[in-house]
Amino acid sequence: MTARRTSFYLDKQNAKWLGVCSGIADYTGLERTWVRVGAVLLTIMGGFPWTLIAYLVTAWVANPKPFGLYESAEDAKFWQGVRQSPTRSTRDVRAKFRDIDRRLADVETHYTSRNSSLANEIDNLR
Amino acid sequence: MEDVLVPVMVVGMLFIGLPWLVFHYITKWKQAKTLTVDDENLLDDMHDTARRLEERVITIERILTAENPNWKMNG
Repeated sequence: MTARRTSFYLDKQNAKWLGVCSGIADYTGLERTWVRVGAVLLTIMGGFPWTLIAYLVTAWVANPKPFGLYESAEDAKFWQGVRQSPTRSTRDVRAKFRDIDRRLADVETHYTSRNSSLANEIDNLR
Repeated sequence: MEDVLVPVMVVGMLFIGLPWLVFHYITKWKQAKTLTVDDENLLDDMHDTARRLEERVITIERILTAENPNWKMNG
């Protein structure tokens, strides 16, 4: 749990060359191919030395992605959302808790309304 | 005396004071925007807990539906 999940990593597993584009795709949640196409287009359109320099500097500065940073694909997607907007992610988690609360309340009403003996017992416990 | 002191003051203000001010506010603004390590771990934990709770609720709902398919209606 020491590795940060909100920092930028090089994605060496899906790298074409040094894993910068694939790292950007992993960080932002964009499609990997489009990031590469965008980088190549930028370089052709006149950013020639600068994009390459930026690429190499990024590859030199950033760390490779630690193995097993996320337990599942769903987890990785969640953290992509957090990197885009932490506020929205927290709201999502809160919404999930409220949904669970509502569904449990349904179960509770079902049991309490169905048999009065159980309802009495629950009332005694309160 | 004054024609030495004034340039020194002005250069000091321009080349030390101003960048200092700018970077001070940049770092403050960056800190406000990012999550701290504690926040990150807390959010991860809550996300995990929510997922596990949802799985449990789904199990309970499945058991209830097996017992009584329209349990939500008479509730």
